[in-house]
Amino acid sequence: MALAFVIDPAPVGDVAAAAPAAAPPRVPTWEEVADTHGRFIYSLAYRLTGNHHDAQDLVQDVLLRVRRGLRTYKPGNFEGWLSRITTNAFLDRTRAKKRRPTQALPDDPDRVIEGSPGVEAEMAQRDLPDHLQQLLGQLPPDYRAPVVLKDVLGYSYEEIAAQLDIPMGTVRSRIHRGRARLREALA
Amino acid sequence: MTESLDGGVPPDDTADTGAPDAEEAWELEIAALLSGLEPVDPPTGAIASAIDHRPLFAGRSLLGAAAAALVLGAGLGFSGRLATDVRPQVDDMADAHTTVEASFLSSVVPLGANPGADVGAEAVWEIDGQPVSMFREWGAVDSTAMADAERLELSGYPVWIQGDVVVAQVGDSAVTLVGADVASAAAILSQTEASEASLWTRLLVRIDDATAGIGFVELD
Repeated sequence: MALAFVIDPAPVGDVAAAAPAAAPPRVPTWEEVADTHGRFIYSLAYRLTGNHHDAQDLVQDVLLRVRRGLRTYKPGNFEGWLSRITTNAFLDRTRAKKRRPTQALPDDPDRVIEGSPGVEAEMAQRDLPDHLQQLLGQLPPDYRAPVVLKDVLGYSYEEIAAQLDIPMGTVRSRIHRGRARLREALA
Repeated sequence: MTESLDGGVPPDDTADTGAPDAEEAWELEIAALLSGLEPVDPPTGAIASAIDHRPLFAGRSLLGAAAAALVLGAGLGFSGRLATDVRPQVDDMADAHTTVEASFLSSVVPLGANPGADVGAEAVWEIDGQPVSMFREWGAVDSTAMADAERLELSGYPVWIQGDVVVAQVGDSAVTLVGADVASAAAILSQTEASEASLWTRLLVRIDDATAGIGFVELD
């Protein structure tokens, strides 16, 4: 998943050694990020939020954070940076909603996801993605985020630990528990 | 609010271990199912919309944004108002307080069904994890409308406290705070200027400051 985002990348290898001092990689503009990576951000936002409306709100939030972050961004794993911003923005929003007095508190970490009766019979192959998304949406956000990053986007435990700024053991634990709940719901 | 700054988790959650070192077969099955989820295309125009609907300050200088906000304020009927009696519609404001979501950007939205009406604007933010809404109407508070409220002075301004609503006379404007305790209200009022230009400038500065510190974590 380590996709370095570099526009006008410097040459590599022997060519680089022979070339005159290469200009530093150019950091993309905000609009370029939206154009080039908007689908990536949106897709992750959708997997985290579970619906288009919240995903769109989250994308706007993310793009504003990206805009500010680009001022100090140093070229590197750009999609990792974007996923980090997206995931943290998502977690911030869920926590902010929990603090609102009118919000319900649905994220009991010990809550068991409710599977639909006769789910196997209903779950034709074409419905599986939607069903999985629905179940993902029932995971507590702190479990959902690492599960999405690991299993949907394919990041390593180390990358996820860095993105979420939590210990790797915690990442492994949350992914394990998140998967276990999905398994129960699918059973 | 610090907890939400970078999406981190509470410190006591760092001991949340207990997963086996190796993934079990069932885990790999779940992972395989999830890995089959395809990327989701945004609805047509969604990304462009996210940029187009950016707040006023995005892509502009703060000074320019402040000027734009003043234009907005004028459009909403705040500019150049002289003192008239203000009877804060506390119930409407409380409703708005519970329905307008606090966000790191804060919200500047018209209050009420008619955005052109002289009903003020709302700014929502969080203080110590508690959402606080602020409304401003231009004019003098009609004290008879606040007959049931406790009369105090906070940060040099006369205030009326009624439940979790604080109404203050700040210069030529009536500022209503919903969700703030007395200490928070005093802190807000101490930073609230009597001039509308300063209010909007301060609001934008606050938004800009907020976006500078929230959610973004340096990678280096």
